[in-house]
Amino acid sequence: MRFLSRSQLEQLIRRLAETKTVYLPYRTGERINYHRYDGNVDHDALAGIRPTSSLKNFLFPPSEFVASFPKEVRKSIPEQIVIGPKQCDIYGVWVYDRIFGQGEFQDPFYLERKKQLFLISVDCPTPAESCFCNLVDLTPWVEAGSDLNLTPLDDGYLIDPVSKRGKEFLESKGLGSEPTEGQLKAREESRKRAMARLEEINRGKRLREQLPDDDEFWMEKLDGCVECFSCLFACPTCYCFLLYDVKAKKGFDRIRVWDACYYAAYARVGGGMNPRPDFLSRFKNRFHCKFEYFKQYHDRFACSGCGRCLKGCSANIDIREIVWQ
Amino acid sequence: MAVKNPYTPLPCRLKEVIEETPTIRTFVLDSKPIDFEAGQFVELTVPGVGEAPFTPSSNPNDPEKLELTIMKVGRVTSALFELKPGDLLGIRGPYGKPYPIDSWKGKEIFIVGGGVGMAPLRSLLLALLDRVRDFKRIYLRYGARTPKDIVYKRLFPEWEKVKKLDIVQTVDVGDETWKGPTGVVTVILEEIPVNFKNSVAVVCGPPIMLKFVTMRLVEAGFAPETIYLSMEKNMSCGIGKCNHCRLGPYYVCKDGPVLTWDMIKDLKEDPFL
Ligand SMILES: Cc1cc2nc3c(=O)[nH]c(=O)nc-3n(C[C@H](O)[C@H](O)[C@H](O)COP(=O)(O)OP(=O)(O)OC[C@H]3O[C@@H](n4cnc5c(N)ncnc54)[C@H](O)[C@@H]3O)c2cc1C
Ligand code: SF4
Ligand code: SF4
Ligand code: FES
Repeated sequence: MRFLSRSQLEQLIRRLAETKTVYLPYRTGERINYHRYDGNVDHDALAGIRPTSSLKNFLFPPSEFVASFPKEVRKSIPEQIVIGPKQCDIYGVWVYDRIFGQGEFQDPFYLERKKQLFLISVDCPTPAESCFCNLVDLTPWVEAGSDLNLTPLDDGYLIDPVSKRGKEFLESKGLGSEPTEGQLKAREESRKRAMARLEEINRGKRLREQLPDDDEFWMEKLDGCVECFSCLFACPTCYCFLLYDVKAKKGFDRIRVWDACYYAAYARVGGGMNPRPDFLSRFKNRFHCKFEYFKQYHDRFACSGCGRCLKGCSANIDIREIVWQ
Repeated sequence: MAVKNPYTPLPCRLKEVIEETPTIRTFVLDSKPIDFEAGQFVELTVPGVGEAPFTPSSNPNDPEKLELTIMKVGRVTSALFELKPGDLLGIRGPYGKPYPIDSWKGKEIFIVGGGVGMAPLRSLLLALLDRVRDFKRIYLRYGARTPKDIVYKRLFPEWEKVKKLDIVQTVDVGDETWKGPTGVVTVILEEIPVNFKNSVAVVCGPPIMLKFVTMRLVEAGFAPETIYLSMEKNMSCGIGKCNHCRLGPYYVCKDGPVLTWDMIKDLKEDPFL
């Protein structure tokens, strides 16, 4: 672990950007989002909560060209560095690893993107009202899943190696200085404060033992939904997709596009039968998928508590009011 | 890239198209681009139109060709019906789990099919007949809407000759040529002459048929774990990633497409919808 002053971090990012594409969070009004490094570092955004869009866009983009026929697709994926992902997005990568990176069939595009992506995560000193990572047993700081981690302090950052390549990176660079006792203590306190704040925000919330069965409960919860599906597209743990073929000069190209389980046609089979013909059944299915089915396979929820689905919802549907009570 | 691209189909060509019924045809490929076991399925691409999942209907042990029996219902299947011998197709697979045929040794096998659901069952039947000595007896109960809608009319006479194979067919609505029973397939399930303690049932057909047949089989005495059902779900990737085929905790493409009744009988979602 090393300590970097703000200007030392700025210098490091400048150096990295000389040879690699670097993304980091910038604040515009209330929104924080990733942009290509523009010569400045927005320290306030780095210490804020997760950006509006997640790492999903880097690893599993809205559309990806995955096959061509009759010739095999070839493409090269550039090396990228993303500075600023929070625990809730690093957990999203853990979920995607279970889906795309494991088992008999693996997604070579996801794996290649992941290999080329160097992640520098950052602690969340001040969680927002929409945050609930604590309810899904996560901490607002990262100990695994990224390459390096930054803890913002008043006068700079503590930088920790997280992965093997992060460790090698840190050792090769000889950055900053040995952290002082005071800095270590400041981190401990900052993390404690952040956790306390999350507990305060989500006070009294208890996980339901089971999702309710009665339709009345669900009808009440989905009230006001305009079926924009932003909750699904913004979600760092949603992974549904569709393979879509388009005619090419010779043969066709196959594109993997994001899909959403709320679409009426999502589960419809040939001939028109539909196992989830009404929105009520599709709405329920999303929660069963994330909190029951994914868990049966992988022992954890497909939700990281990032709060994007509730922040972006025009009907203010809050997942915490459904899965917790 | 380090791992194999699972989204790329292999090219293959159409050799022959056999008209089975006005809406069902058998598509014979000019080679066997992929190996499969009975019960597994493939994703078939009509270039430029799209993909759809189908279970091969030919004998998995046939080293030379692969056949698919397909009903025209929508976009991809309609495009398939436009193709001619020599046309290019794409195929990837095999996906899903095969029927656990080895575990059926010494048993009676009770097969029930409806409509185009006979396609995967033909592949299973041919695989079973290749080692018919392993089984005590094989029953086939098949139902179609009308005599015209019966698939493999050309093959039934040959199958009727097999001693260990007991076949009964029915049609919902008969005509002047029809001598057999009439009524939905459950009418030929009133008598199930097996020893339920040493039998398995295999069912494939439209969801509504699947439902009533399952109810009947359970009532007759088959244990839930001995009833094998082909679940038709919307599928895109076929490899347990896209989530389209999900039925409760299962990815039907990966854990199925054949699931036993005990796996799905207590799900929150109606498995037959
Ligand atoms: C494991 C399995 C085995 C099967 N075996 C057989 C078989 O042996 N024989 C047989 O006849 N049938 C079989 N089926 C059914 C067969 O897959 C369907 O009939 C087929 O998918 C219908 O495709 P279609 O495009 O013609 O129908 P459509 O009704 O046009 O489409 C079917 C579904 O595909 C989706 N879709 C439509 N357009 C698009 C698009 N542009 N891009 C992406 N998705 C789209 C929609 O969700 C639609 O509901 C099997 C199904 C499964 C799951
Ligand atoms: S369900 Fe909502 S809170 Fe959970 S990961 Fe998805 S967007 Fe974030
Ligand atoms: S949910 Fe947790 S990890 Fe995510 S931004 Fe909020 S505090 Fe940080
Ligand atoms: S078809 Fe994609 S997960 Fe089953």
